[in-house]
Amino acid sequence: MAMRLITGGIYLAKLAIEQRRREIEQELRRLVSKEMRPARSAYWWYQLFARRIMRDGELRAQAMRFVDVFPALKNPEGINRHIKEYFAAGPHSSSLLFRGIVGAGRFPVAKHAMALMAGAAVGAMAGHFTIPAEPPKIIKSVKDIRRRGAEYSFDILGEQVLSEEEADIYKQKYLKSIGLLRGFNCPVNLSLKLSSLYSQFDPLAKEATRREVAKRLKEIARPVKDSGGSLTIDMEQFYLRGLIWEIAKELLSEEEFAGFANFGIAHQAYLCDSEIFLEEIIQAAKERRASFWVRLVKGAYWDYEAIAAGQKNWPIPVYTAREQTDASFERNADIALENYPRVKTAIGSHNLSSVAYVMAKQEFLGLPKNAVEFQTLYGLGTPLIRPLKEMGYPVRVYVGTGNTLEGMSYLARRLLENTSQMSSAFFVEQGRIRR
Amino acid sequence: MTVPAGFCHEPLADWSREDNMMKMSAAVRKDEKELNKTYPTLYPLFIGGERVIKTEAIFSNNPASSGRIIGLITKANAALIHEAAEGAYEVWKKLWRGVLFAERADYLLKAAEIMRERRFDLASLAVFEVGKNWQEADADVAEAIDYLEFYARRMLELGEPKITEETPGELNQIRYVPRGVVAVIGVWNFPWAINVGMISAALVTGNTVVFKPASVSAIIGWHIVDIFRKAGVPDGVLNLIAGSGQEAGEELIKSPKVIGIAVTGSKETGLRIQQLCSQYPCEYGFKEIVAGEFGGKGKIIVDSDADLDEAVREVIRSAFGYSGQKCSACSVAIVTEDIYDCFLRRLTAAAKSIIVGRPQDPGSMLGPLISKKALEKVREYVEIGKREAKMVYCGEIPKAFSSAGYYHPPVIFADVPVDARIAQEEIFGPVLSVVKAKNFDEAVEFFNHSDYALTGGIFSRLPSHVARAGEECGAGNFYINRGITGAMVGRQPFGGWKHSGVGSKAGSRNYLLRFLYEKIVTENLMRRGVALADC
Repeated sequence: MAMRLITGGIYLAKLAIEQRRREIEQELRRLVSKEMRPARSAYWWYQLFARRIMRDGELRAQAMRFVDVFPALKNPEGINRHIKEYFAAGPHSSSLLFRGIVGAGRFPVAKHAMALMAGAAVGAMAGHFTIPAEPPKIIKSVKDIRRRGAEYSFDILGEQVLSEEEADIYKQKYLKSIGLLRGFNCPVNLSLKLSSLYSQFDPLAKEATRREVAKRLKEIARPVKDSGGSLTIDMEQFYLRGLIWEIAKELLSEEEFAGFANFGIAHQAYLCDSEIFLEEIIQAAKERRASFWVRLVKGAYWDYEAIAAGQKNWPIPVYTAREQTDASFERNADIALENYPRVKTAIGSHNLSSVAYVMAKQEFLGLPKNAVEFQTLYGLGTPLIRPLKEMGYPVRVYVGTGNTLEGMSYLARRLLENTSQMSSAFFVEQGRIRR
Repeated sequence: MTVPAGFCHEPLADWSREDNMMKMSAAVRKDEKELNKTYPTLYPLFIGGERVIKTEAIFSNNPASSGRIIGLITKANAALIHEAAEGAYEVWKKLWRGVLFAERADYLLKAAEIMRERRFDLASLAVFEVGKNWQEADADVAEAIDYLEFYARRMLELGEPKITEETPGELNQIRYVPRGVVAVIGVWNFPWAINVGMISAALVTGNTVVFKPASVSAIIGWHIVDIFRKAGVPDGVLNLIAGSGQEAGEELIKSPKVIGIAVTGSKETGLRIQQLCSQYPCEYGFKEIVAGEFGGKGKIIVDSDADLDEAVREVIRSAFGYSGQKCSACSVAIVTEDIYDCFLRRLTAAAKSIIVGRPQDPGSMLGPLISKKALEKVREYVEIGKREAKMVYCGEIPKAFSSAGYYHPPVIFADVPVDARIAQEEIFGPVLSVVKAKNFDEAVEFFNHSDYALTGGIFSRLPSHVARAGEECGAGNFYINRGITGAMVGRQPFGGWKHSGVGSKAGSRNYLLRFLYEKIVTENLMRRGVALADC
């Protein structure tokens, strides 16, 4: 009898949260669509582009391939040749636009113009999502974000780290950015991929990995902590997660970092074992003096995880359906929120349903508004910033910085993420389709 | 799809899982003690089901610590070898060729099961006997299991009766007939996979086998035979002899009872065996190499628009994995002019970061070479290379173990002329030549300037170049935008042409046919103008 009462109570609570989620989502959609209305240059074009290529699978693949190869092309001939081969064949080649573009490429003058145009287009797109690693640009973006009432976190984009030389260069880039922000009296907020701190990062080479990563990580973490800023560790591919978590825990166990409060990890809800892993994180947080941030995301390596596991004949570590990931995201949010203030929750999703769910749950638990921080990606989540602020929540913008080449893999990933079936960030598109 | 029904790859160990790390670590610790005894085990031969122990023995040592003998095995003299071949012939005639194909396939599946249960123990043996790191050793065992599963299931398909054509009043059937006694001349670089592959193919098709493992991996060779015996393969069907290639190997091939040879070795070995086949005929048919894999000179083209992140990483892996001691290894990188400097700079830096270490320590990427002879050969080629090209990188072996084993550091030569010896001859060591090509056309031309046609690849994102490379580059296994080693059974059947091989690709659906004769049985079904059966 008592059991039935409890389950009944849980059921009612769920119902109430669900009801409230719908209300909030509606409100969010209304506010976001207000932000969307003006044809805002680059963003508007991106939307148009994304919509166009989303409809055409083949074109989407070719566009992705072009964005991927573009930074490696060094002359107009190379650019033209790729444009021609990527877009001149296939079903869309019959369209007047493509025939025009490709046909024009035959003339020397047009050839250069076309290469320039393509360069400008890709550059503009990359520029929309990333910031060049130049001091004035970085400082400007910090001011910009703060003007909107949001905080920021920088992610320094890089090529793959293939050697110790390159790992050192990568570390130096971080230290330079840290120095820059400190010079302007800004707190240093960074998100970090540990695999870029050691070229032989591998669970098999555990000892060497721990030693080398810890060395470079401490050099970066120290000034971040001293500036009063924050550090978020990306959990990357599933194969590396255990080792990354181990290194993160080791850092925190050191006296120097024991009281470092703005330390967190990105936690991926698309992993089938994400709830078990979150419990482990919470356990670690409980044993710690300072609190711990959990940045809840859906996960950015979905294709990779599914393919790598498929090729190796390993169990697929991620949910294969979009709805499963969304549900897991909500379950993980429940666990994280219920453990406030031991863990603090950051929400790294643009999906309005997911965002609304977290707000509803937060209200239900009676937590203060600043118990959760909502995080958006630079350039992509811009329309979300004002609504979230108006509703009274803290907002942080994630900014990738790097040169074109470095920005490109990031851009490719974002593009893919936002046009794929598993997309978690393609909120506006979904909103429109629904209406 | 060309893989047989029901075939499924044995997954490689997931090293991010603590339990796998612990199991492998336990197996390695156990062997470290076991294989370091004052009086190493003396292993017997298996001839006609008898264990044969003689006083004369060959020894197999640990290439990472050359003083350590990990086992002795009885050396077979000429008389024993001929006895083994004759015995195998008798067992073939009286027993094995008459055993049903499904039963033979079943022995393979049982052997696969035994190997699966002992995976980490078997991998550990490869760590100590041939100096493989954990990952390579594990992959070797998993591939051996794949061969057993693949050939067993392929035989089940082949064994089913098939007709050639529907013909009124006549039945035309295909049947497959085993050849007889197959000599399997083993190899050490994939001591589990390749040897288990050759043996299981010969056995499942109804041939009896005399197996001579490479001397440097003779102990694993013994274990392979032991596993088949445990799987229930009858006495005398699979025989084990031991000795050097020149002596024991040649003596076995000379036997008039041997009709087929399955072998993996160098181009010279292949040429020599062909000679012996004609000089020493078999008394019941034409003697020939049924399956021969003879080395290669793997090349990767790096095109102007290549993703260097990937190209550098994969060239390094393909060139230096297992110290370059793979037939498929990348030995030459052909790089177009406009990205040559950038590629070389990143490549050299990446080579510097390779972890050189003892095979038993997890995380070592580059370990020792197989033997003193191999080490001397590599050193010789490095000297040749210094005269032919510019040495841009030569690594170091940590002092702690440099003198203990046959270690050679990774070496990179740049500006190598395409016809230089180091760009043409198989070195089988951690030596990579980088060749500069003016453009893609020249790169393809350089690629095909070779005695071998085994493996190769290209890193390019231009569709027309990718298509042309796939069409024009001479290689049995060609890879686009990935590394060129690690071919998987069934998925990437392995083998090449020119001086790289004879016969069908290992792990392909055609491989077993090489161990069989095809027989067509035609039966007239009419009696006095009346069809007596439905056909």
